[in-house]
Order: sequence, then C-alpha cells, then structure tokens
Amino acid sequence: MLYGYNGKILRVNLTTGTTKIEEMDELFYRTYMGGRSMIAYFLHKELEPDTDPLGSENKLIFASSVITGVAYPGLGRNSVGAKSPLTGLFGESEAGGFWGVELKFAGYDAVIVEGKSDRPVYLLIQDGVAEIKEASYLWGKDTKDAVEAIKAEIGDPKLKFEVIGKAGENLVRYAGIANDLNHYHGRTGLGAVMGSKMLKAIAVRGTKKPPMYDAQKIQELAKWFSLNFKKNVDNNTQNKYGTNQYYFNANIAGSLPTRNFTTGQFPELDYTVDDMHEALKIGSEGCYACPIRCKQVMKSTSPYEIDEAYGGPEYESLSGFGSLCGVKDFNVVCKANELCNRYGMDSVSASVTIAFAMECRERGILTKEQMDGIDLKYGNGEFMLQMLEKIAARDGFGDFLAEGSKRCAEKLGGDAINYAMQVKGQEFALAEPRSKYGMGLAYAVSPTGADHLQHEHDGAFDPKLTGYSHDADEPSVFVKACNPMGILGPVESLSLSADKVRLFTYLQHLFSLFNSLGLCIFAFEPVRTGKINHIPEILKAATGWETSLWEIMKLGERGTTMARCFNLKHGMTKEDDNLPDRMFTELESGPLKGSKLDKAEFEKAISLYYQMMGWDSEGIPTEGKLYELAIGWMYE
Amino acid sequence: MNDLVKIRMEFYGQFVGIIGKKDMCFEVEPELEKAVGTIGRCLEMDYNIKIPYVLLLNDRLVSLIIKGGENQSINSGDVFKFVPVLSGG
Repeated sequence: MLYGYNGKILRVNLTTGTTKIEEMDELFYRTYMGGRSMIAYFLHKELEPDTDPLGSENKLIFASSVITGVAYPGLGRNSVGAKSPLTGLFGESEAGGFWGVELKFAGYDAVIVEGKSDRPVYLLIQDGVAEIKEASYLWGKDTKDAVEAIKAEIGDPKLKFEVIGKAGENLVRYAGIANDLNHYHGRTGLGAVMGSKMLKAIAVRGTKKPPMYDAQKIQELAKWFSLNFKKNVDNNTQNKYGTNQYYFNANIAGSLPTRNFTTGQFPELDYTVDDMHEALKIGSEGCYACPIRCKQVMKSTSPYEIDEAYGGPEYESLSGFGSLCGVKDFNVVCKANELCNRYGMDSVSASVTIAFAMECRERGILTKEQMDGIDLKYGNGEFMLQMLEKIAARDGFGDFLAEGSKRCAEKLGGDAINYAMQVKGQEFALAEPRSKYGMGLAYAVSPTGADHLQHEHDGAFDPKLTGYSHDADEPSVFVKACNPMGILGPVESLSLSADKVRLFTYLQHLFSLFNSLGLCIFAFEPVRTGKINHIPEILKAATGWETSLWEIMKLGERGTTMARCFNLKHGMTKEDDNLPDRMFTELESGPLKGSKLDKAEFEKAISLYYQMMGWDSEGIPTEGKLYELAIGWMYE
Repeated sequence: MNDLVKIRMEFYGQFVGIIGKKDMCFEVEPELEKAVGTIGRCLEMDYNIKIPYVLLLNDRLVSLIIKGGENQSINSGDVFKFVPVLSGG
C-alpha cells in the first residue's frame, strides 16, 4: 500500500488530444520525491539539446511531492518546470496555495504536458478524470476572468487553478503562471511555455487524500508548530506585514536595490509600511494548513483600481516597481503588481527589465521616440504602468522589452549589457549582492539564472553585522538552527570566504530539497519555526520510509546537480556562472557605500563551490559524484 | 575612564514591537566597539533580542566602519539604527 502519494503521473499530449496515466515505482519516488528533482528527471530524459522552449517539443511539468498535502504548515507548494524561454536552460518555479494539494487529492502526483494544441484549450481534472476542454472563449481573458468563467462553466466554485493571462498567450519571455490568482510561479517564463501550447489553464478538484502512514505523528508535529510559531520573531509579524516590511527595513539598512542597482538606498521613501497598509490593505490570506497567513491583500478604487482578487505585492514587487524604478508612490507600485498578476507576468523580471530601460534612457542609449513616445525615466510611475500594458500585449516597444533585459541589451549593443542586471538571461531578484556576498554567489550559480531562493540572506548568520565584538563568535539563533546540517559557527556577511562557500553550498542543498518536497521557507528553519529535523519526521509519518536529514540533504544536492546536468546538455558553460560587472564596482551611496564584490575572490569562490559540489574545474559533475547521488544515468 | 556620551537609538521593523518604542536615548562609551558591546548586552538582557540585526551609526554600517578603519569615536547626539536582518524570501 502506498502512503503519502498516489504513484500516478498524468501525461497529457495536446497535439493528439490524449491523456494517459503512468505509474512509477517506489524507487522512483524515493529517489526524486517530487518538485524540482522529479521535473529535472523528466526534462533531462525527454528533451533534446535543440529543443525550442516555445516549440511543441518542450514539456511543461507540474509536480507536487510525496508530502504535499500533509496537514503541516508550509507543505502546500508545488513546482512547475520546463526548458525556459528566458534562459534556454532549466526552468522551474514554485508557488504556495492549494493547487498542488488539490492535484494530490485528485489522484495524481504530477502532470506532464507535451505537444501543442491547434486551438486554445484548458485541462480539467476531477478526482482522477482528466479532460481537455475548449478554451477559445477564454483566450485573451485576464487570469481572474478566466478562472471565474471556468468555475461557472463547470459549476464548481472549489476548483483550483494554474492559469495564464495575456502575457503568457503573447509569449512574453518572463510570463508566469498564476496559481489561484494570488500565488505565482513567476520565474523563468513558464507562462510563455503554457501559452505556446495554447493551454489556458489547468483546473483541478480532488477529494481523496492519500492515506498517511502515521497520521497521529503528523498531528503532533502540527500541534507543536501551532504552539510555537508566534515565538519566532518573523513568523509572529508575518500575518500583519508579510514581506512588505522588508522593503522599508532594507532601505534603512542600505541594502535596497535602487535605480537599477546603482545604489542601496531610496531617499524618497518617506512613508512606512503602516502608512501603505492603512491606505490599501484589507486583509491577509494563507496557504493550505498554514496558520501564518502571510499573504497581504490590497484593494483600492482611487487613484488606481486595484482588485483584491490578485492579493497584494510581496517585497520583490514593492522594491522592483518602487525603489528599483525610482517610483515612490505606493499606489502606482501596487497597481503595477496587480497588472502583473492580472496579465500573468513575473513582477521581478518585468520590473528589472523596465529599470534597465530606464537606465538606458538616462544614458541616451534609448530615446523617447524608440519607446513609442513614452519617456520611461526613473520615477515616472505612470509611464511604467503604460509600459507594463504594452509588454503584456507585446505592443510596440513593449514587444522589445518582452524579450527580457539580456536580449534587449544584446540588440542594443554597445555597453548596454552592463546595465542588464541578469544571470543566464534571468533578471536579478531584489536582493543586493553587494550587501550580502553569498547572494551574489547564489545568483551566479543558480541553475535557473539569478534567483534569491537558492540561499538564505547572509545577514542571518553574521553577528558581526552589529559590530558587537563581545559576542561576535556566539552563534546566532539562525546558525544554531543549522547545527543539524553541520553549520556550527557564524559566517561574515560581507565575505566570500571558504566558510561562506560551505554555508552557501549546504543552504543550497536545503533550499533545493525545499523545492523538491514543496516546503515553504516561511515555515521552516533556518529562519522560521518548523525544525529542520522535523522534515524527515514528516516524511516518515507521511510515507512510512525510514529516512534522515542525510537522505533529504542528498535529495537537495541531487536536484541541483540534475538541473546542472540539464543545463550543460543544453549548452551552458562555466562562463555563464557569472555576475554583471556592476557587482564588482562600489555601491555609490548609502550605509554600504563602497561595498563591492572582489572579482578574484568571487572567482575563487566559484572554484571552491565546484569542488564542494564534486564538479570539475569546468563546472561539470564528475562521474563519481553522479553515481554517489544515484543519478549515474545522467553521466554522458 | 572616559565619560559616557548620550546617543539616540532608533528601532525598525519587528524591533519596534519587541522594544515597545521607536527610539530611546542611551549613554555609552565614546569608542565604537565598546559602545556596540554595551548596547548589544543591553538589548539582549532587557529585551531578549538574540537575532542578528543590522546596526548603523549615523547611517553608516558599523561593521564597515570597524573593518575599514574609519573614525570610530562616538559623539553626543550620534544616532544608532537597529534594523532586523532580512530573512526568508
């Protein structure tokens, strides 16, 4: 008998209009478990190096995990993956909410979508029954309108959705997939892959939860969480502020990406998170089985109509459309976030690409005329909103920006590439590497291009940030949380020492296992409530497997290594593990003025990272490492 | 023994709730490393603050002042800012 998972994967071919069920054995599930690792398994096996990310041969995979749906906080996430149209490499993005849980309860652990429909369709899955449905009447609709129309058509208000907007339909290279409207698979352009297949949505309803091996143990662990999460400083305030407060904290601290990463402070930011919330916030929402409820919900009728169905901005959207573009007005910033959610577009890549265009305009590389008469300059929020509309529609200059900052820079030529803040074609997240050097390493080697969810922010492990020499060697609570992984002492934030590389490598394993098991970083250590050592306990209680932190850390390492192998197969080289030159120049102003990454230290850190990962000097996993990770089949 | 100097401490983010106020005045030694040690002990003892925080002196990161050998004297009226480290996503 299977516990925790279904053992079934739904394969949907949109070219032939057929579906079939594949049953995988326990060894498969034990080795890959779900999410990133499961996605990497299928993509590596089934895609050829010349696969066009927007062609019919690409595959779009929606994956839960063997513990998705366990009634413990932070286990409601699912991953989506494909070859990315933004990077041409491994594409993957996770989201919270309920969809992955609903898929599990509908009888499937994953859905593999292949081929391409000749007309718009959506996929309906109801308790094991899958059906490809006509969606011509949905094409062109905003994500919310599409969701409401399908609910009305099927007559089931409890359906859960993965859905694209017109950005995905128009193949914007950083289009995302909305997960029930207020959770998003934002990164790596997976919405464009969905659009290329003419797949508007996947609607799921499931009522059959897989049996748990030890339901009482899960109840005990969940009860422990509910009794303790308010003792965690961040979890305790996340219901009230979500990630919004980080925008204001980072500004004070001088680590807020501002004006396309030229400075770390936005002096115009003269209001508080409370001011913004008083004007716009109407409530908070959460994910499956999670009491934290960190999602902020915003609504407004003036000066902009902001629909609460799309939730509210997280830190990344606030800083992306705010300080990064020099836009002070929170009404504009929240509207920009809403537009991205409405049209299904990654707010990170959209904002960083617009900031790139703003800098090019300031430097005379782009003219007002080239921008369709919209003088896109720092601080002009109204023009920023207009440009977002044009990007989603691929209208005029918006069609140019819809390609992402790297492609835009390459087309512009000259020194434009210096102002594109991206790695491997994916735009930076809104964490400033010159204020946390490990994040620079994370951006550089992330298999999905620049991504902050490879690594915990360095400051959590650095008591010396305080300058407090009295206890500078005393591990912080966050270091102590990492003790089970063998992280035993503090590591300086503004450093790329060997200790930092080791810290990053282990945290990357941890975050990669989060992506494979569908865990939320806001529910687990190192910085939140759930114990790292609870993860194997949860896994055992769900599946019955005798397991350990050792086994799941190897799962994390396996996921990263598999994504690496996919990337190497698809043309990546060690030269792609890099950062824009700006990161090696000093921050121009603010509390961290003068801080920069040292190029030689950075290159040494990359080399050390390869060695710690068991990769050769070219960044290629060795045969021994692949066999050690039980993926010897990837050795070519 | 050096005379103590009066400085202002400003708190941000989660610290406002923990401390119960946005700022307070404090007397510390006029040398930076001694001062931050005194302040750190105070915050830990009086408010049980054990998480790392970013500490600024007059809008300059303290660790950079110390690391860079910049002027480390504390003067009356100087402002320390305490900001929780960013963590999570």
